[in-house]
Amino acid sequence: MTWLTNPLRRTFSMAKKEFTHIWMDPGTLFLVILAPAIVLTLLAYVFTFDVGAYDIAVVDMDRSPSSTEYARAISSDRFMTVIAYPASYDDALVLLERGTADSILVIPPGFGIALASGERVSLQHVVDGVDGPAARQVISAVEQRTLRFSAGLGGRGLNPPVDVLPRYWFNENLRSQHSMVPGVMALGLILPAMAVGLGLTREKEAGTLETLLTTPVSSMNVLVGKMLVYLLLGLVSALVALLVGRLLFAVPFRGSLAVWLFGTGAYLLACMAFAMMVANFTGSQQTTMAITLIILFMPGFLSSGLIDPVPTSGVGSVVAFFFPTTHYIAFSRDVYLKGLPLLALWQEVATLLAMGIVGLLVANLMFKRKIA
Amino acid sequence: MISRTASLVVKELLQFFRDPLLVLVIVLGPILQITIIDSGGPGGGANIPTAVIDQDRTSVSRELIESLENTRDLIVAAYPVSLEEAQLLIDRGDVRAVVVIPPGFASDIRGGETAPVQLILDGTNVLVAGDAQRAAQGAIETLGWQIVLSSLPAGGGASIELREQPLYNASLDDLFYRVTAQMAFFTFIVVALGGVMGVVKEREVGTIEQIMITPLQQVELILGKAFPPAILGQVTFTALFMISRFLYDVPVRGSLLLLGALTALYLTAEVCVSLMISTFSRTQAQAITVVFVWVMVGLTLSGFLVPISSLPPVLQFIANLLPLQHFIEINRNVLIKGVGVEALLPQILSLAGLTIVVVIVTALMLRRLGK
Repeated sequence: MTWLTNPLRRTFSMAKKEFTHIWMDPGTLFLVILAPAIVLTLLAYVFTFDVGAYDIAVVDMDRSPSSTEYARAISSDRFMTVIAYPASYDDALVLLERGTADSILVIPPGFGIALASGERVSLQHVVDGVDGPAARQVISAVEQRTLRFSAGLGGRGLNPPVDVLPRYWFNENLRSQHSMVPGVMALGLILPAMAVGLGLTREKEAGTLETLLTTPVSSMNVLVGKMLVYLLLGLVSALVALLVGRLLFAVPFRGSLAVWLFGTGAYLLACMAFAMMVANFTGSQQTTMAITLIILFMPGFLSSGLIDPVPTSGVGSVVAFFFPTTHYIAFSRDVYLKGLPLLALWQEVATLLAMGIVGLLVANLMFKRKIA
Repeated sequence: MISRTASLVVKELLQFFRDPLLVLVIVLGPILQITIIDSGGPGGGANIPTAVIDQDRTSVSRELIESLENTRDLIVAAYPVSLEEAQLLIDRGDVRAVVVIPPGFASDIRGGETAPVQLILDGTNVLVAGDAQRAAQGAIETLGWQIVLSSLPAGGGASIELREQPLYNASLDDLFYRVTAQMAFFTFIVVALGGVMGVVKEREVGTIEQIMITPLQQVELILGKAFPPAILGQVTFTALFMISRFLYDVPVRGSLLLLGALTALYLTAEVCVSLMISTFSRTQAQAITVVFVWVMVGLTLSGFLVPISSLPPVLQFIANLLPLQHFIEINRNVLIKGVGVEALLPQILSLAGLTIVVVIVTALMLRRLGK
């Protein structure tokens, strides 16, 4: 019996010591409890965006009633605005170079006469291709409006051929914050994980880690004890962030809180185990921070599905699998907005748990080797 | 003065390389990110998996599916037979959008009536949902009007032919756009991380007082502290430039001399921001927290992830105060558009103005620290 209770007791006394440490250090306390909510608030505000409008410059060389009507038909809704009527193509090109206009539409002389006599007219549509996907959208939008205009001249202007009825599931009004809050939660919670790494590095710098290991506690006691405290505080910070999302941005929470907390715990475990591995071989807090930022935080932003969907094939998909953020962003959004049960999400949670446990074991091995 | 500054630079560089892991991570991290992780599919761009419920099953509905695929934004990945089946696909995240083509779609359009097409979008990621909606709606409406036009009696309707001419980027993918932003952004991260400990570390250990009693002048101290992260930033930018040039074929259409000069200006501003954070932080942990926030603000407000024009006005104003935002524009416009100084005047003036302000503030803060 004693062989079981002793390690447990030691782990708990480690946890107690760790808790006192955190409690007395306002910097760490801030990182562990409040920082996730602050990151969440900041990012949710910043990610408030609207569908951008396209700005078109029309070079009207015809200057007839038909060409004026055509230009009006092109910009009949708020997604497309004619911002200028430059006198020449060269003037228009300057607008494109400066980024003031997204594209140039050139209406040739004789446009009105040709239309009236039923002849074929060609228009030049010059698009700034730097942002390719946006350029494709301008092209498609101008094309569609031109067709509508053409059909209207043929006497068929009243009944549009199709009526597209978009419906947004899980986010009826397409509020960007509803989509971003559950996702950026992943980024905020990296801070408590980084705090574990920074704490270990600081102890290494100060030499207190060696002192600790001369006592009967084992390296596993140290790691698990530390982990327990940070994990619990990390969960508290997740709840604080959840509350902020609810009160400040009215983000709905459709799933089960218990499921969400369980998955969040698994994610924190995975990130913290990673931070502990990192702290094992870094010599300074700056390095620990740099590695956490570059390996956990940056891919969390760029390649974990927060903005673009995660690639489903190729190197990108393999790499993305190894980032805990990939699994957590999908998990958090699914629980929050779709309200899916744990059964539908077991893959994400199991992957995160496996990452955490393997990471902790590896960290322990590395730790032991260092001591020996 | 020069020799004193030089010896401080040497000391700083030595300290830097005493931690080779740091240099390795800081320089290699971005390079790996840009070469492996973000390489994406051919041409990059979002290929959004979409399901089509075709209840019409005519040549017209098949044509519609084809034009959905032709948008390049959508990939038709599944053909569920019912809405329930489609819902399962959306729940599992297998598809992000569902297009429901109703029975009678083709005959409605031909008969002069309006055919309702339902478009269901997974709103959990608004950016993807918005892209999918614009692409699908554009394709569906274009096809509808095309059918109307072709069914009009000869001589009815106008025949306007649009000749599209994309400038700067014929393939219309987002590769150049993404890579040019990443070059600037990763340089930003390297400088922010590399410079932020400069002062606060000495302060925490207590060696800053020792430096203050040496004959080093204020300016020399700044220069000495600024050089290593600036060099690191320059190395990273050059490496990323090479990768973008030779791996991704990003063109160099403008003057490299201009880009080089403006990069130096940008690095000056960014290093000073880093030193500023370092100067007003009391502990390393504090500096780390602040630099985290700074990197996040840079990521989100610099137009790197969300176009600045779609941000609310207040945030657009803040975005203009970020040196990074101007540098991304400069880098992109010089390389891809090949524009000269005149077209970049607003960015250059903003960047220069910001640099001057930041340098002055940093100098003042360091002077206060010395007293």
